[in-house]
Amino acid sequence: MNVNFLAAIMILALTGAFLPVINRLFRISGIMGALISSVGYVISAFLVLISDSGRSLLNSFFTTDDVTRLIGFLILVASWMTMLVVYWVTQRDKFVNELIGSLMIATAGALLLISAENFVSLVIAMELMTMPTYLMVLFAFDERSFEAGVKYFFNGALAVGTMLFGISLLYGMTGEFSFAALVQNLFKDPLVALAGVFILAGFGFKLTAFPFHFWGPDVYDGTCPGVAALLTGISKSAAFIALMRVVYEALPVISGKFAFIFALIAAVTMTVGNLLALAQKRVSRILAYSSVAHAGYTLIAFAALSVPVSITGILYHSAAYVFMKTAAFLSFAVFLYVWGARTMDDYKGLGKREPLLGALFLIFLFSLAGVPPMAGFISKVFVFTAAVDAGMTWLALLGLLNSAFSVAYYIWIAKQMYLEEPVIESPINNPFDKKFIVIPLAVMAVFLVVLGIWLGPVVDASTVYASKVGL
Amino acid sequence: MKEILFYLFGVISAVLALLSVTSKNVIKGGVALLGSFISLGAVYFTVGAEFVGIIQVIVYGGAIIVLYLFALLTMDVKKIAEEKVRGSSAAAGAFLSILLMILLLLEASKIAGKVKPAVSGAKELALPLFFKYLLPFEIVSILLLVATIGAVAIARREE
Repeated sequence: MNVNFLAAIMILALTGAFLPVINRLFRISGIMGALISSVGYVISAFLVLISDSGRSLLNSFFTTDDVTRLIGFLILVASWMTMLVVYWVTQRDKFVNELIGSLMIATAGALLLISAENFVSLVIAMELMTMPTYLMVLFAFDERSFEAGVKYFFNGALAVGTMLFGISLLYGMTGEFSFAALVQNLFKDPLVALAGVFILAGFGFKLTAFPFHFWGPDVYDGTCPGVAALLTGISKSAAFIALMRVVYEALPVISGKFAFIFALIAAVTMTVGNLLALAQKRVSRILAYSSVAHAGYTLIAFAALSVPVSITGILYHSAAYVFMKTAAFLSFAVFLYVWGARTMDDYKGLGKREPLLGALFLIFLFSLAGVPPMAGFISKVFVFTAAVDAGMTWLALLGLLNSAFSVAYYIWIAKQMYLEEPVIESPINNPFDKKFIVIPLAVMAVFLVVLGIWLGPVVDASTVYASKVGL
Repeated sequence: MKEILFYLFGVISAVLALLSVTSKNVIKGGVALLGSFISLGAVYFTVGAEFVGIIQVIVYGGAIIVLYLFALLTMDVKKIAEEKVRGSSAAAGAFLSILLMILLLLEASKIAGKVKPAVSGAKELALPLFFKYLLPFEIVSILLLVATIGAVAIARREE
């Protein structure tokens, strides 16, 4: 692991840990807190950018390659913008600094997770990413968030327990934890396949893939939307990168056998997610089920794991997903805070009331639907190309059908926002600094458009990674 | 001498464990469990695994028993004492315990005589923890920090 990258993680975690302490000592205002954490984010983003130079240490646990740098930087930016919006929508809460501190520590966990190259560090990084979110889900402290918190906690514990069981099987067979050593020592064996199934099931919980998807929408809907943005966007993307490392670096012996399972899970996950999303009345639930569907799209790329373009698909979809899902939930959070809008009916005419915010929300929804020139389009192109290259044309067709189908509910939100007459008379909160909150969302929109046009960074990183794993 | 102590503490531990599950009074059962844990720690000491023994006393005798007693405080103890034990659940429990015992005895007979007590010393545990696995170990400490922040935020919220 590169020292600069390690320093970035340490600075992020320390800023997050000290933020509540600083607040207890000096009673800082919301703007001050946002400034302090922004300094932490900027320093660690800078350190991530320069992490291709400098010494490296403890290489058997974490690696700093192009994938880590790229996705790490994108996660940092998305998390920074999330922090700004969350500060703004929860500024009156006494415990907002604890919430932001947890968010920063969870982001540090996500940065560790995308660089983990050893099952010990993978599990610990995943816990570091998940543990603060257990607290954050509870943060609203009403009936629904308690239910969501309990559900999330038990599902998370089950997920990591399943994963640890699979890892313990691998350790029992080889006596090794690091991916590089496992690759040399593993052989085709039913027990290895069983361990793989357990590890994948653990990841399935984190990614809300089909048989394990049921908790996702309840949790994303029950907690405050700023936290849902972290859970659906940032932590899921990091989990996808970790799964990619496991599949390509640790278990290539058996992952070929898993291609069809991945394909099946992908097909069912996206279909179920899209069908259920269409049946929802609440916008947060629509976004939550669309997040399930998007887990399915990424799993298409995993199903095509024999071809190099699958890595481009996984990377591109994770990179785009960090911004579009996070930003969609953040826009929802802002609408909820200012207008109290939850259901489809509340969204009537909101686009006329908030032209700028409405336009940004539309960009994120279109990116989720896969409309060019946003990154959501090009990532789907790579994912479906990978499926066709790997000889799974049926899966690519099903994915296309699903994305066409998903446009229905995204367009429905757009229609409510722009073509209907407003129903909500006056905003429930109308802070003076409302125009500033557009800035973080606009930054995310810019990132989405740039990623949709400038393919270079992600494609280069995936080429390097593909040659590293021998595809 | 060592062997006498080993069997003595082993028997005490087993008797107290039996007492803790058969005792009608839940608090009495909890205290018996505490005694069982501590004498189990003493058993570790007699076979040379001092570190495991200390950890056993601190973690089980200290933390876990306190957790049990706190959980008992929140429950209605008298009501529990009056409840009848169902035959089916007792049978299921007995079946699982006997199965577990058979498995343990089978495995234990295989590794008998091959145990290396030196492995359980503090030094052998500390070396990998502070050299090879240093970074994951340090990250776990941040996890504890998160848990502290969470506990404070949740507890103070209700004021």
